[in-house]
Amino acid sequence: MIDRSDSRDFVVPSEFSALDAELSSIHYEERPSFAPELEAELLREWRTVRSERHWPVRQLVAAGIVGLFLGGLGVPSARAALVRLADLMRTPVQESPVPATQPVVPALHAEVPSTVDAEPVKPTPPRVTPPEGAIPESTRQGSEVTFPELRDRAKIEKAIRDNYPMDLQTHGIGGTVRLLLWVDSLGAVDVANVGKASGVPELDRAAVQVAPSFEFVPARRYGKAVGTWVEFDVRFRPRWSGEEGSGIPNGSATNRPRPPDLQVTDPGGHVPS
Amino acid sequence: MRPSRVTRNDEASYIRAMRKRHPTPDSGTRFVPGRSASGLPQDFEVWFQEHRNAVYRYIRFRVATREVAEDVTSEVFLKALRSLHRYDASRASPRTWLLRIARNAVTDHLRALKRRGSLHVSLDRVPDLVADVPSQEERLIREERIQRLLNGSQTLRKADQEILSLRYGSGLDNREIAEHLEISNNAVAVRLHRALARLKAAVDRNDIEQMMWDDDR
Repeated sequence: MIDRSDSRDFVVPSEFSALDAELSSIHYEERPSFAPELEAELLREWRTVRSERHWPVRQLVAAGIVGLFLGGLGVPSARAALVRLADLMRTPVQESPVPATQPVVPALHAEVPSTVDAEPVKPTPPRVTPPEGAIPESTRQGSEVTFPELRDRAKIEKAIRDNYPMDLQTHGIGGTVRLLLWVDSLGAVDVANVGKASGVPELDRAAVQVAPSFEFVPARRYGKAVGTWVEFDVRFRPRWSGEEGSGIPNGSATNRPRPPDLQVTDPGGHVPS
Repeated sequence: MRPSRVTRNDEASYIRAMRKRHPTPDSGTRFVPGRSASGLPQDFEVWFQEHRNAVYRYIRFRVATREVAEDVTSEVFLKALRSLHRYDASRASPRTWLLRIARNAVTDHLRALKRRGSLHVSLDRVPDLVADVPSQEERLIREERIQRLLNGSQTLRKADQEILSLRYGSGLDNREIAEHLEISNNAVAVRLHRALARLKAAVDRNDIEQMMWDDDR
């Protein structure tokens, strides 16, 4: 019997309840790297679309300027005005400060240190130079743009080690996963995507799974905490032959795999010596 | 509005307050402070995160394999991105808009397949549609059943396939389907009932034909 009154949901007649249950039980399993791959493809497409859209506008504007200029040269009074304008542009004018355009947040390449024992190197985020005409720093409170920084590097290293799939370690399979993280204004990771896959889906999955546990000091813009995207490299490297050259981990009676080798680079891409 | 000492609870209530102040047609849209520095338009980024699953499942219900579903889903979001400037929030919610693009993409895909004569869903192409079950035997039984259901739904008219995909693919409820199709809740109930009846008849018919074919062998 169909429920003919307006209802919030469809009441399944009894003769179709088994069919409804079967259809409702269909489980849709997605490939884990599908979403990050699609997002990367969309980003490439968007860049193409944007550059295609800008072209006609730029051409029109350029044609307009050239036309005005040539037209102006033909008329004496306009020519004189153009000369005066050129003189004016040469002398610096005290204009009212133009607010800085929103700086593009460059990627923060942060990897975890190469050896567990080594002193972790804190990557210093690059300073953003405000454009000319921007409000002088002295007049802005907390004017510096800062990028998210890791709160507890050791904790993150441990989390990454714990999530390194054992069977991959056993087979000596490693790789670097570049994650795209949305770090909100509280420093928590809200969204984690794979920006550049390692080529090993299990590693990508492990990196994405551990990402929500990362804690950052949030980015700040003009003294205010803001959310931002961060690129974060997680490198998994199994170490079978130890640095001691023995092939057997220190203090270990059995041939257990050592913790993954994790390497840090500063944002300029240089490995600290 | 912004509290002076920010804790995680304060952030949540701040986001709730912002949603109230800036309501959107799709109440599921998440407020994301700041621009998307990944490069995609901020709204689109949010729609992608929130509706990708519904779009994928809608498509997967109608096509033969996971790989095809991924291809069609990619096509849908690429089309949406290219025509983002034409999206009008007063005419449709983001999800409705995306599902309409998906419907057209699936129709085009199935039309092309029909020309090549290959609409049948084979048994080895449905493992991604079965959740983990205790035994291999039960898994096989479920896969066979899903295969029969999907093959049966392929024989239905487009409107029936559409409403079944929205209900059992995207997981929309009665009200959401009504909003998407721009019909009343009552009309949705009637259409669903008829679609299920036709699907049951189609599956039973296929089962009988299969039994007769097995007997003849």
